[in-house]
Amino acid sequence: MSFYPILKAPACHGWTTVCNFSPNNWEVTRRHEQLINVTWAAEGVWISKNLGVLAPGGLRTVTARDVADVVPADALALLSLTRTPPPPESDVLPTLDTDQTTVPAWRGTLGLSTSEAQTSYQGELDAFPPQGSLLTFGPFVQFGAGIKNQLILLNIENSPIRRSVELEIYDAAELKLRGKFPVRNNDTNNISLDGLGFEPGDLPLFICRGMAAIPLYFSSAMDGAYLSLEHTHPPASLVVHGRRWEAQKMLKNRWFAKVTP
Amino acid sequence: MIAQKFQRLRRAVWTWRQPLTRLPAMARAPISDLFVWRSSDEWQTLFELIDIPSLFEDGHDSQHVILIFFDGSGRRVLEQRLDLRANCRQTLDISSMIGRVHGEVGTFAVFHSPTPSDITKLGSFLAERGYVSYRYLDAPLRAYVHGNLDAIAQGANGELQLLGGGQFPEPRIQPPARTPAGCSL
Repeated sequence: MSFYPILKAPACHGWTTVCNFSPNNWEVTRRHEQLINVTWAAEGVWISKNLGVLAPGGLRTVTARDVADVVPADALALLSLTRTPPPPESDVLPTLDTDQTTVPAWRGTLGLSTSEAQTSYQGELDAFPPQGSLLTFGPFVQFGAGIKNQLILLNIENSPIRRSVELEIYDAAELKLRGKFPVRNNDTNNISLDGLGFEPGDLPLFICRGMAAIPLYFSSAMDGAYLSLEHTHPPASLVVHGRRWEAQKMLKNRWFAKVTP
Repeated sequence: MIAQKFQRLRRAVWTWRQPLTRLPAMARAPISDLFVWRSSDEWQTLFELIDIPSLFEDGHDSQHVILIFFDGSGRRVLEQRLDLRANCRQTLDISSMIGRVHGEVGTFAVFHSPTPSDITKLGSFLAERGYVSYRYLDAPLRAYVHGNLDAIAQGANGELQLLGGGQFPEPRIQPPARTPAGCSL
């Protein structure tokens, strides 16, 4: 039941391509028209509007400009595909009437563009539990003249009520706090990674004790002529098979105890 | 609800005794994705190496990785052992390591050892799912790609085990993107 957010970053415009075909040939094979919707949180409710219909097998790109008249500038626009329309207003994030797959998840293409370049990744966004947390290691900071690096922290939760927590950024070897930033739920949080003193051999460690999120790393160079975008994994991906979620819990507890804000 | 149950049933029929990836034959065997390398006048490949065992346990002085390279036909062509620095980022120039004598494209795997005992106790395996980047010509930025499938394991004597589970009918994956004109997937 995934949503497909439209990303935001300074000096760029966001766009998202949704697809009305299954990503594999064994979980969903039926094809049917689906509604394209946009959902956002405003004044304590989730609001949804229809943007049209997508034919079976179709792709459609929706840009931030396309929804600028509908979605407030400070809200995160969430696209979705459904067979029946989501409620126009809801106290909780709408449950989507749509097909699901697991290997891989049914994804969209999420991108950022300038007039000279574009970058994207295949992704989706599901509601995180409010008691979730984030631990990830991010070796994506790029170095060179004029290169700008940003962390984009993506979160949605079932509740439309806004809340703010802190993101801590450390050097994993020295365990030195490099920065502390407020971040919000139901939002794209853009945080500059420049000026925090990271060197090419440093391993940045990102911790958010009060909120789970997807960490994206966005780099730009030469005034937007070159762009780069990718996400890091949650710690559970460092192990496979067995009780891997316990390994994630173990790793989080270990690093949360190692560093104190 | 009925449609969802039908979907689950359909998935179960497909995946019964056909796991997408298999367990390694040996406990503690390190696992790696298979990453694509490109090495040419146009493309440079780099890899962000992190000491994964040290993220779970302190006190290891002899942490290392074995990188195994395959050419475009899947032949094992090179092996390198590298020492690791705990909790640091080591950016490896994969194109320089593989050179230009094994073609312009192939794959490589990264095996970490030792596997922390806490991981083995959970019935789990350490896996390198990590981050490759590609630079085109003299571009100032590299484009990152993460691994997607735990594909290969290394046994105690260095033997390799492919972990892909064969499926019938043949599975197909369709990315959610437009295929650029002139390209096929």
